[in-house]
Amino acid sequence: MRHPCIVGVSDATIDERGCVGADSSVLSIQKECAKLALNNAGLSFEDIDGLAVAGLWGMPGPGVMQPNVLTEYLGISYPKWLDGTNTGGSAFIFHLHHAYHAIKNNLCNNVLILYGSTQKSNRERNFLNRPAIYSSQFDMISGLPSPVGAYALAAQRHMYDFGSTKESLAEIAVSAREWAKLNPNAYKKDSLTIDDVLASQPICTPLNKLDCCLVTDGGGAIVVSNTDRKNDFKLEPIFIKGIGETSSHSSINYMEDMSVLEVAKRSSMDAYSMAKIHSNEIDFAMIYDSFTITVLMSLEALGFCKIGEGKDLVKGNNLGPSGSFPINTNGGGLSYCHPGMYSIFTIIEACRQMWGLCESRQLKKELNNVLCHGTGGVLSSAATTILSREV
Amino acid sequence: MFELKIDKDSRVFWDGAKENKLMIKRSQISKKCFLYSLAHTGISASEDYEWIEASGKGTIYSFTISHIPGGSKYYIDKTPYIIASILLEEGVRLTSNIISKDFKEIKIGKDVKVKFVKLTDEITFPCFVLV
Repeated sequence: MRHPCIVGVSDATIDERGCVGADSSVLSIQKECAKLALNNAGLSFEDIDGLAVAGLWGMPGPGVMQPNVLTEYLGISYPKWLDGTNTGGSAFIFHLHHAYHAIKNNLCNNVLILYGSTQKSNRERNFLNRPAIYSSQFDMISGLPSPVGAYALAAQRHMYDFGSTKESLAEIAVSAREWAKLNPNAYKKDSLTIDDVLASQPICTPLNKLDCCLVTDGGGAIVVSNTDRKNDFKLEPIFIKGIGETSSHSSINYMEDMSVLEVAKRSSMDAYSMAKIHSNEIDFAMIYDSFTITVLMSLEALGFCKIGEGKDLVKGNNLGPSGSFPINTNGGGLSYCHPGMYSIFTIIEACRQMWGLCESRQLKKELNNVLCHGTGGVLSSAATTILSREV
Repeated sequence: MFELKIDKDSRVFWDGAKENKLMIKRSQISKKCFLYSLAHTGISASEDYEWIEASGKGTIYSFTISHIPGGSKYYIDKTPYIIASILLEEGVRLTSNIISKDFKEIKIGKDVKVKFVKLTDEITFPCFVLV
């Protein structure tokens, strides 16, 4: 039986302003990323018969049909499988899961997962005058900034229930920065202390500016192939050992318990169960850090500590390069880049760590089981993947 | 100012607010209450519902003091202001505002009651004050 595997990845280069090159479009970024990823995989565009894409570009307009736009632009000839699942920033991990099933079941052979964003260059990020519709109408009328206000409500409740503090959150931002200093492609590399985070501009209490992800351009590509092609691969294939995904709500007000990330508990339980491993067998984790609170709640829900004890796990820069639980070695959405939808970068960095390509930020330990976790919307959707060197 | 699009699931809520009534829905089967979404209410989408007037009493489930405007340009010159998830005594949560200048007084678990605020000619919103 053939096995789906990741065989190539790439991320777009961003400059000191957090932008991709002048005149780049969301489409050209994705083409360049795809070319690089295929190149390091040992495959070509002609091999691609499956395509997954999500983004915030081209809407209203052609972007509501992004798989069609990319099929056309890249000249992929009649793909057999397409996925445009959009669950927010977690979408690319959903895509990886769906590609896994599609390849395993012989629906297609080689899939490209793509993402591009020029939100910084084009000043596309607009938080005001959002339509007050559906379940978010009450949020919009009460002036809840989205998404930061939603995460702030969860953070406030988490502090109330478990005694986590603004210092606990600041630890997460500082560890991310420590890693970013080791990533040449990271946007923010100047030093950062807990006091800097606490003194940064309040946005929505208890979250300050430095508790929030960056606003940058960016892009990435992942090539998922299968073991029938193993003689062509330039890199050791990385297998998908466990997957899990779910969703809960759209407006934060409808989250069941704002201090427990139930979606991540469920997606990770499914992934652990499929991989037949326990959370303590994970060698390294990449966790989507849209806000510092996202990491705190994810660490707890993924089983790396008990619910409410994340504050102890993050203490003393413990997630950083010198800590006992290093995560997000690229610097994360907090310090490396955040083009709007980030989860593709968790997979890209996880693979690079497993391939030993991370130079000064390379982890000095055996990486057999690596977990990638993505959160989408306002703690709304979750997807967990466990990557492995072995089938 | 606000791009509110009222629909079948919210018409009675907004019309009620204009008459200083806080309207929510109640399942005719389980008698559990909800507003707009069914997520985590335990109510099946197949159940019929009726609109009822809530007491207007509740507690603060969570809150944030926003230092940036959100949702609408209306809030540009209103910062900082308080947004809260209010747990009504009927068991329904509602995103709303707490009207107070004393931010230090705002704490999770505190009792609140409704106070209707006319935002525009078209929109009156059920906000809350500490009791």
